[in-house]
This record gives sequence, structure tokens and C-alpha cells, in this order.
Amino acid sequence: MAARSKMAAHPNPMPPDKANQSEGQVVLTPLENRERDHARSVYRLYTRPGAAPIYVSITRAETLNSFRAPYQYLLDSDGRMRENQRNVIPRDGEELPVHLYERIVGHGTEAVVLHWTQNWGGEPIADPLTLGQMFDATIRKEPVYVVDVWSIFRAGGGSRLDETTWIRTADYIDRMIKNKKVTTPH
Amino acid sequence: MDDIFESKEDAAPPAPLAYNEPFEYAPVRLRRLLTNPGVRIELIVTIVLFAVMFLPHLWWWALRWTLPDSLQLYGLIVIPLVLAWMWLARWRLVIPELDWLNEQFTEKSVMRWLTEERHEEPKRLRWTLFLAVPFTLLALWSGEPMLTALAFVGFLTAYLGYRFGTQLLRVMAFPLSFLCLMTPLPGFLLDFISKRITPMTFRITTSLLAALGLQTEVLPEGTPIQIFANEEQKQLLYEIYAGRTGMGYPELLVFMVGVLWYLSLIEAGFARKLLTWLIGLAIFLMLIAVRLTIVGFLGAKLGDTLDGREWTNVFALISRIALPFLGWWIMSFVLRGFQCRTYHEWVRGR
Repeated sequence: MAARSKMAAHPNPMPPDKANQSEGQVVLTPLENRERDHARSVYRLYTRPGAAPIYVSITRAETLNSFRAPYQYLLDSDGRMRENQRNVIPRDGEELPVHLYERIVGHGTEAVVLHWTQNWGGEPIADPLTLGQMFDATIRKEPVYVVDVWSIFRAGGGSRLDETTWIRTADYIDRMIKNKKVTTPH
Repeated sequence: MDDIFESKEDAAPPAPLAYNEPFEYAPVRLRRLLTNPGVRIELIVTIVLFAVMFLPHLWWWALRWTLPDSLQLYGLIVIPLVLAWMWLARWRLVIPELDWLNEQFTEKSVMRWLTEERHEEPKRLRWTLFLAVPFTLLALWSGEPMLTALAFVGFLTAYLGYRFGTQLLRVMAFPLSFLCLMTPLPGFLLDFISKRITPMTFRITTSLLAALGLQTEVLPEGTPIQIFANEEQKQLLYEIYAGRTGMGYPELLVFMVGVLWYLSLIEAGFARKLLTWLIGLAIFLMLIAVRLTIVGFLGAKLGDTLDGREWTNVFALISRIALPFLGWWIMSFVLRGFQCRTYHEWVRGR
């Protein structure tokens, strides 16, 4: 009870309303959030004509299942990572690698995802399994966020990835959590 | 609460023994305990305490056990099996001091000791309580299902150890250890295990499919197995996905947990029980590989039409549900080697 009220006292950061001319829409969970013990999350979907939609999920890590590899919950029961399609990449214009890049695939769908975990006010960590963050989230009940920014391609679909929006949205949310901003200033 | 074993008969002169063996006497003691108001109050208070502390967490445990393709599906049967075990072994649980008495006295003296209720203060375990209480508080604060489930088992063990002593804990060793199986492990650990065992099963399946003359290929990601019409044209007939078709591991574990429980009730040596359990494991692994091979074979023969693929998917689902029952039916032939006829016999033999 005390743990819940401590968590509730800290609201989830909200993704921006617009990202690089793409309009953001609030969407219900587009993913298998049950795999993450129904952790509290906020979602956005950014769409632009001709470009593949970009999804954003910011999840407050509450239990150990919040720290799963993204392919386990982003697509379907057969979500898996493409062979050798995993890398750690830096923010746009920087050199320190902070975001995990994965190309993942499910039943007839394929996605690219940027994934990281981040303490409130801290630097992002690309490794999905970090003991310190698990301890902070589950025992100390400190705000730790698991962020996914991903874009889905249907098999045979013609839309292309809007890479600039994808990377910049990730960087924006990362800085927002680092600078302890809950909402986007208008 | 310790006066619950005292009765008016204590003051009476020694009466001739009314019971020939402890298990004849056990129902009398159980009845006497359950009609004692002090015991009833303690029972209700304990149940309410445990319900308040752990019932809200049961939902989260069940959520993890029932995740799609969760290896821990067997978690659902653990508590019912423990309750069934306790019911079957209830006479033994009522007389936890029986082993100690048998070591000390002759058969007749044991009976006299029991019927006269010369009860000694149980050797209480305090250190488990000192460990369990802070751990339980930490787990309840955290809310992490793995910790709360461990806290439940730990607190229950500590409570029994403190209230009824080491003799009861010795009798309850199996059900308490068995309860640990329901601990919901974190997803990343189960994902790691699944990722390691799926390729092994697929390797066996593709070998069997190749023996049937089918062209197969496993994608580098580990799933699915693709079955082709022929090697040159690579016309895809059917795909066996680990998740969608189902590997049968959750069913395997339900079966193996059931066998473990069953063996715990039987009077036999550890080596013999272990061997039987391993035979059960081998039988089930064989069934898993055979099932996937049949699914692949049907997919190859019927997969060129939409209806055919649907029928193959239906077969995959039905065969998956049938796996534990089929395994149990085969296993029953192995278990007949123990020559037990009724549950009553097994429990009395303990």
C-alpha cells in the first residue's frame, strides 16, 4: 500500500504531442503489456503520410517483468530478434552509446526499436537487465522508466521508416527524463 | 494454546488401550482438536492473517503462471496438489511426533503415550521467524510476485516451525518444498530458458521430418521451422512457430510436477522415484518431438490449401492439450510397478 502511494505520487512523463511534424495520438496499449505485469505505461502513436507509424511507450518499472527484452512484448507470441541485428547507438550527434537498437520480427510483421531504461534524472542505460535499476524499481520504489520507441512494418507494406523522427523522438524523451520534465512545455 | 492437548481423561486411572495403531487413534485426536474452541479461533485467525497478507498477491502470481506459453503453467496446480497431499496425509500430520515416539518406545508404549496425550512442548523454531518476518515485510512492500510468493512459503514455514515445532516441519517438508514451485520466476529468466531449449527440440523435429522425406529449414532466429514442397522451388507449405504452434513445455512441466507429487505419496526409495521421474521426462520429451513431427507432416500434406492449414492448426491445439493426459496414461504403466492399489494404502505406508 505504502509502496503504491509512493509510486502514484510520481506521475509518468508524457511523450511530446508532436514529433518532427508527425501528429501524436494517444493510443491504448498496442503491445502485450500483460507480459510486463500490466505495468503503468503511456503510449503515443506518431503518423505522417508515406511514413511508417512510430510508437512510443514510457513505462514505469514496478516489477522484474518490466525488464524484459522488447521483442517479448512488442509484437506477438513469436516475437524474436533478427540475427545480428542488435546494437547500442548514441544520441543524435553524440558518441556515448545509450540506446539499444534491435530489429525484431513477429508473425508477418517486422519492427525496429530503440529501447532503454532510465532513472528519473539519470542517464539512460541500454542494457535491459541492470541489477541496480531492478533494485531501485522493485525494492526502493524509485522512479525507473523503460522506454521503447519503435516502428512497425507489415510484410509487403510500402511505408518507409522516418529515421529522423524515430531517433529524435527517442532523444527527446531521454532528455525529458534526464531533465526531470513530466510534460512537454507548450 | 498449549493446553489444547489436555483433557479430563488425564486425571482418570489408566484405561486399557482402545486403539491398536496410531492411525486408528489419529481421527480421534483430529476430532478433539477441531472441537476445541481455542484451536478453532487460532485456525480462523491464522487463515485471516494469511488471506489479508497474501490473497491480493495471488492474482499477480496467477497472472504470471497463465501468461501465453508460460513455462510456469504448473503453478496453477501447486496449491490444489498441496491441499490434496495434506488431506491424504492428514492422519500423519495429526501425529507429527510419531517418528520420534517410534524411535524412543515400543509399539505399545507409543500407543499408551498417544492415547494418554502425554504431550511435550514442541521444540519451537525461532530463528526462522526472525528471518521470515522482515523478509515478508520487504516482499509485501515491494509487491514483486516472486518475492511475495517466496515470502508466503517462508512465512508459512516459520509459523509452523514456531507454533508446532520441528516435528511437524519434518512431516511437512515435502508440501512446503513443493509450494516453492509456485514462485513466479521473472520473465527474463524464463525467456532465457525457453530460448535455450527450443532449438534443441526443433533440431530433433527437423531430423524426424527429414526422415519422413520433408524439406525443412529453421530460420536463424530459432523459429519457425519452414517446411517446403521441394528443395529447388522452395515453395513454403507450412511453418511451425514455437509460440503459435506451441512447444508443449508448459504441458510437460504440468505433467512432471504431477508425477513428482504422485511419487511423494508412494512408499519407495529415492533412487527408484528419481528413476521413475526421469523415465516420465523421457516419455514426455519423446511425445513433444513426435507431436511436432506429426504437426509438420500434416502441414506438409495439407498445407497447400487454406482449409488444410486450418485443420493442421486445430490438430496442433488439440494435441497440445492432450499431451499431459497422454503422458499420464503412458506413465500409469510405469507407475504400476510400485504395486499400490489405493491412496489410503500409500499414505498409511508412509
